[in-house]
Amino acid sequence: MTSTEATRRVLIVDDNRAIHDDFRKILAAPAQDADLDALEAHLLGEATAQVAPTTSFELVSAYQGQEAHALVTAERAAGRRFALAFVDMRMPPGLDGLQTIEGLWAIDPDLQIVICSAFSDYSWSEIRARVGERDGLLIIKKPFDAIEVTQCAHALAAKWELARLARVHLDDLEARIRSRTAELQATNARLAIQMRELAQMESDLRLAQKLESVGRLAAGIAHEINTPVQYASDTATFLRDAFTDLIQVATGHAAVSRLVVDGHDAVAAARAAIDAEAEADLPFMLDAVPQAADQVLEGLGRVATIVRAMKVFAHPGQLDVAVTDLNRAVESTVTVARNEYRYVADLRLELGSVPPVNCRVGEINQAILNLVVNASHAISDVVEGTQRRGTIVVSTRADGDWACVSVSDDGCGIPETIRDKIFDPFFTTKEVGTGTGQGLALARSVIASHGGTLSFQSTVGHGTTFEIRIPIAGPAAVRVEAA
Amino acid sequence: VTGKARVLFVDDDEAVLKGLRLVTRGLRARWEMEFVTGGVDALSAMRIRRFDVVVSDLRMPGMDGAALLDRVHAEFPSTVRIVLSGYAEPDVLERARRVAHTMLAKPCAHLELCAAIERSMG
Repeated sequence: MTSTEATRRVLIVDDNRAIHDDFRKILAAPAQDADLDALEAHLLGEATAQVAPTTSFELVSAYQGQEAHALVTAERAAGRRFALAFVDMRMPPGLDGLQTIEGLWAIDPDLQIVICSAFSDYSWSEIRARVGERDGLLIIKKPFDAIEVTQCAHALAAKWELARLARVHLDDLEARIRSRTAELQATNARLAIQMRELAQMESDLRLAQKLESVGRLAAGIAHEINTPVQYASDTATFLRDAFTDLIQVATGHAAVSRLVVDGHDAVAAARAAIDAEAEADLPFMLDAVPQAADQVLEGLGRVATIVRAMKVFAHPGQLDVAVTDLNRAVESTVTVARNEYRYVADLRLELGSVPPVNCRVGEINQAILNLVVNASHAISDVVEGTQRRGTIVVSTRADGDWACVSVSDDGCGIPETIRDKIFDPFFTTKEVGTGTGQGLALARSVIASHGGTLSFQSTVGHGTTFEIRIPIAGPAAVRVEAA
Repeated sequence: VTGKARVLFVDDDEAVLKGLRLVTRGLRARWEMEFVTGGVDALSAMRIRRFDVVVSDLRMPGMDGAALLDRVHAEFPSTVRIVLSGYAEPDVLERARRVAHTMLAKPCAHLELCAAIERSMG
């Protein structure tokens, strides 16, 4: 219990002025009585009687019920409260005690009330029926004695204070819960926005990643196309010139033949034809021309292959799940990626028998491409500056209901320390500007969206194998299974 | 023994070299040509015999074209350096530009290539 000095306001409602004086004598006087001290100490839970009385009373008088209502109303408007009121039961000509009490509680429900009654105007049960079961109501019989009034006043003042503190505490608690709830709602709303932003970001990143690889591929493909175009047109130029020479040789020989058939002297013409033949270097031509023709066709074939693969790789209709020949997808992907690895590695395809797979082939191609590019980087780290070359093996197989694509390299391997980070977005070991650090993160998310997995095994110094596993039946089938 | 210009072609793609060999055949009376598939072979050839012109691809395994021309510039400063490239990363291109006299893009018409080589020999 607190011993803080406190003054409680007490309202006396009685039509008899003498009663007001009595209350004043009992409550307003400084408590000097030792018995009273002891009593008060007991009431307030103090251990000894040495502590001075902690509650004093300020008395306010009203002589009629209406006047009491006005005072309590004014008090509340001023931001103050009466702790308790002593109310007479009979106060002619105005409201009686019960009516006064009902009015007082309507204004201030916390007010503690003592009814002072000379005789039983109402029975206790009648009172209860009128005001309800209230714990803020006591009855003392007139004539009352001083100790009784003091006990009532102190007990009710303490009770009022406790109730007030409890209410403050409760209000505070409620306010804190409200503010906490509001904070949580705000946090929830922020989270929802962030989730949406994240989803947007992920789709942006996928696009960025796709554009990055398309940009990288476009450069590689430019090289892949420019090179065969260079030698095919060089060789075709040679063929054109060779034919010009050969036609001259043939024309010379035809002239000789005609002269011979017609019975003319053909020696001079034959000499000219032989000279033309020597000029044309016929033995070389006989050897070079068929090869050159093959080379032109081979160069055009290379161009056609890469253009076809590019079409398969980047076909716009691949955003939807469709029945896919996985082996053909793999072939196209490694064809467009050729320029990424050809300077550091040879690539071997080991394509197994895989039934048609339901997948978004564009995304799967993208994931395979990322793995092939990573494999060539891992090899490049090892062979760069040497004459050695690595090997990349891309294989496909069916494993029950699953289609598997694995990409193995004999490169540097993935150090233990970063194995748990390689799928993190933005994690990269490559030089700034070489990659966004999105390749593996997006590959994994793409495979996950198919209901599949992307895993790897790696030995430092020996190489790494990544394996894509996706359900042959497609992403939807897996969702149904899991449900 | 001859007044022929000596030209060295460097490309990792044999097919490109074959094409060049065929298309420059008509010039064999004026040029003496060699064809090698990499930077290391190119430097070996140049250490055996003088070349007036070296025509090199850029993207090649091991030593790339820019590195080769850089070495040629240092060891054989009088040799004219020509790039004939289908594509190269920006940094390789930049390095190549600093040491090449002429940059040609594949596909390059043989007349243009031959003119560039002829021009370089004055």
